[in-house]
Amino acid sequence: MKSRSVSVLEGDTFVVTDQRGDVDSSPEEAHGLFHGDTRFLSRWVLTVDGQKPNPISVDDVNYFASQFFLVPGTGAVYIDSPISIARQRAVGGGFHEDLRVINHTAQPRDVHIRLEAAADFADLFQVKDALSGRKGQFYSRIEPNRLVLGYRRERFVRETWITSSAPAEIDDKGLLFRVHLHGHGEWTTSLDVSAAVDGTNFARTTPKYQHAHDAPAPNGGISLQDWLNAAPQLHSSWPDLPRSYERAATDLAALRFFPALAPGQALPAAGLPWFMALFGRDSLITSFQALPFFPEMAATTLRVLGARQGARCDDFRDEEPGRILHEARRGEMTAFEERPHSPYFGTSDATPLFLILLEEYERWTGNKDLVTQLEPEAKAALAWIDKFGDRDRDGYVEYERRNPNGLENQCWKDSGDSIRFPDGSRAIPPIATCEIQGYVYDAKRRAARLAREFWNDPELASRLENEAAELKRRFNNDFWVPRGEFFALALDRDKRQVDSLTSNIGHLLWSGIVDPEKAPSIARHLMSDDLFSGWGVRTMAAHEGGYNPIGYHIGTVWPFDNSIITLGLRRYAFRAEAAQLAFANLEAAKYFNYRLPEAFAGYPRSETRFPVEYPTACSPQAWSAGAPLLFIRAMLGLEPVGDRLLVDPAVPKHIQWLELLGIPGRWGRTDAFARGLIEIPARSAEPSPHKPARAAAASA
Amino acid sequence: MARTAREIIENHKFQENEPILRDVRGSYLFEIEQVGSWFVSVDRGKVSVDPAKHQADCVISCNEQDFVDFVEGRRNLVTALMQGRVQVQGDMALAQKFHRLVSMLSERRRGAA
Repeated sequence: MKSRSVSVLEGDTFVVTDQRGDVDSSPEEAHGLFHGDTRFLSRWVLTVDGQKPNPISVDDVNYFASQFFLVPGTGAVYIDSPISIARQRAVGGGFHEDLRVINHTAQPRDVHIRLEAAADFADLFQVKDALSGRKGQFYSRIEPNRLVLGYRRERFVRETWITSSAPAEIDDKGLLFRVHLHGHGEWTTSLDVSAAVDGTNFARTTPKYQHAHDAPAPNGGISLQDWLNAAPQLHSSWPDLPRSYERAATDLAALRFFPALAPGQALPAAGLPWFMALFGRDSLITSFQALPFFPEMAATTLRVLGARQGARCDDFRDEEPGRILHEARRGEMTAFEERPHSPYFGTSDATPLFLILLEEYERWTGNKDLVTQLEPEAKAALAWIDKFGDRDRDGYVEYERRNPNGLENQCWKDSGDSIRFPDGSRAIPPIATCEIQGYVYDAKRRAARLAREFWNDPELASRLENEAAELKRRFNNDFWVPRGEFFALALDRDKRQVDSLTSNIGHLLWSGIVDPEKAPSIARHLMSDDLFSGWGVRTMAAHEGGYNPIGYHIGTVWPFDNSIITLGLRRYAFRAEAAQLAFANLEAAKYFNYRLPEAFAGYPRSETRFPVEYPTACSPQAWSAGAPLLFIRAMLGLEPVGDRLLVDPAVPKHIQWLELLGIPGRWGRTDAFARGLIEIPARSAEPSPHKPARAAAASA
Repeated sequence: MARTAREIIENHKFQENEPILRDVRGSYLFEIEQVGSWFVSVDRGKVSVDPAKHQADCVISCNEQDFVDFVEGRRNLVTALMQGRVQVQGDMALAQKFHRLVSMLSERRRGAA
């Protein structure tokens, strides 16, 4: 049976251990020190006189540090222990561990402290998918006061360097300390475990944190406190809101990583543990959510994704000129092209989202330079939409993988079974999902403004505006499901409507593609018992044939999805609905220790009374951490208008008052104040009713 | 017949105002094992080549076969870097621009074929 694990992280380095602080990996336990998509320690086990000590306390000091207090013994019955052990660990580029052994008696003692170490240098894909078989050679090397564990495949080399401040007897399986403890004395050592990557990185292979008396001291980079100090200050009569806000800001700090392409600048990795890497869609949406709070993250995301934009047609990577990447990895399988993630481009929404974020960034910050610098990349993205995104020239962006092992679905619901007809059957690609058409509409309108105001290209601006208008006109006919009065999830290979009712329709409100007369029906569906669980909007309506409340994209509630929908509701002036949806999600956060997970189950609130966890949800997850920020923006109604920030609150009465101080933007810094005036309807205690009318439409 | 690194570097004609080089200002040193070194300076689209070793913003080192394979689109610079077949020192953003330039030229050749 799996034991509860402890995870600490810093960017693309993270450590997963048991409650002792041990790394003891197995196919069931994905323990390890991971860095750059490679496991640099698969075993790091502490014994005292040959026995594993028992944990008495574990503290997550913060996202990058943890401490473990241990005592020797069998653990069945606690007997006053003569000694105790403290392990304090800080993660970053490897980890630093302070190990302390304390003698609580007056008698001197001799103890043998051993740390067993091993590294399998597994690619994260091998760990995630439990793949076996390695093509390289393992080796170890004992140097003066350093154990080196290594793996070599041709010229691909990964090494783990282990050093200790106290003298150790080193063998190829670990370090032994023969410790003499005086009466009431203590012994300490500081251990550094470094993740060494071949070639360029040897010179800077050192853990980020070093020993300090009170707290781990960073060797460089922005400290957590500096990050939090730069954020606007939030105060509210509802104490849960500042807690969610602080948790979100801290998690975004934890998920920052510093790409080599933009030294000293951070962008968000997608989520712990499997997605601690650059993801186009996730980084773009998270940066959008965080714009009013941490605008610099958007600039880095845009620069890095622009630098890595597709430049050629490459079926293996699903790459096309102008396309924005889906996912970039650095492990062995990617290096040797056994996986296409160098980077993999199989996403059809990241490219329009890139344009949306670029324009939104300028609206908030007034930074014209970035818009000018990225003009070639923005124009290449526009060209991709028309030339490669719209594969069959029907005016809609549709996707179909070129790599047979690539992603079948290249929208945000990217699991293989997400795009389903009402009877539960799966749509056949090429697939044009509705929200991508909305993103394209929005991207073209926004790019038109950039072309007119910054690129001196009024001709392009006019063309884009005309194309967007035509897309909107056609979309509102081709995707509209008259019997149900909502938009189809997608068009399939044969241009048939995939007429399931899903959360995707909320993204359409955000994009602005919805005809105003159709919007009330969309808002009504979103807040119906069929889609709204009481905690949030489900990814798929409860009456649909494919619905599963614990299906990844077919019934769960995704906080990021809800945050986009909330902003969409505000865009179409559904103030009460937006307030209700934001508040419901923020109420759910309390049950997750104020950290909204990637997704949670879609069971009705009236049945479960608390939001049920989704079993394998990533946490923290970047765009879930970003969700409370977008809920706050939506409730306050923050919109840049010229050089001013418009504040138009729609705050539920449950939150008596709310203030956000020091919002950064082109205005410098400004404040927003709001009182809760919006009545939110009480949730029905009844379970979701089946809707015969829709069911009839679905089976037609 | 495959070209040599020397032929590629010394004979390459860049398109005037190559879009990807429009905002590039920096210098590369290509160190080709057992062949030689070339210093390539880029100033907003203008490219000059000097067959000598100067201090550069970005140093790219590899063997001749790998270099020819990058330029001719048979090998991916990013995975070669991850494999340790090529070493990059200095400005990684310039290395990425080189990778994209090579990819774009490869795509241009494909389109022309």
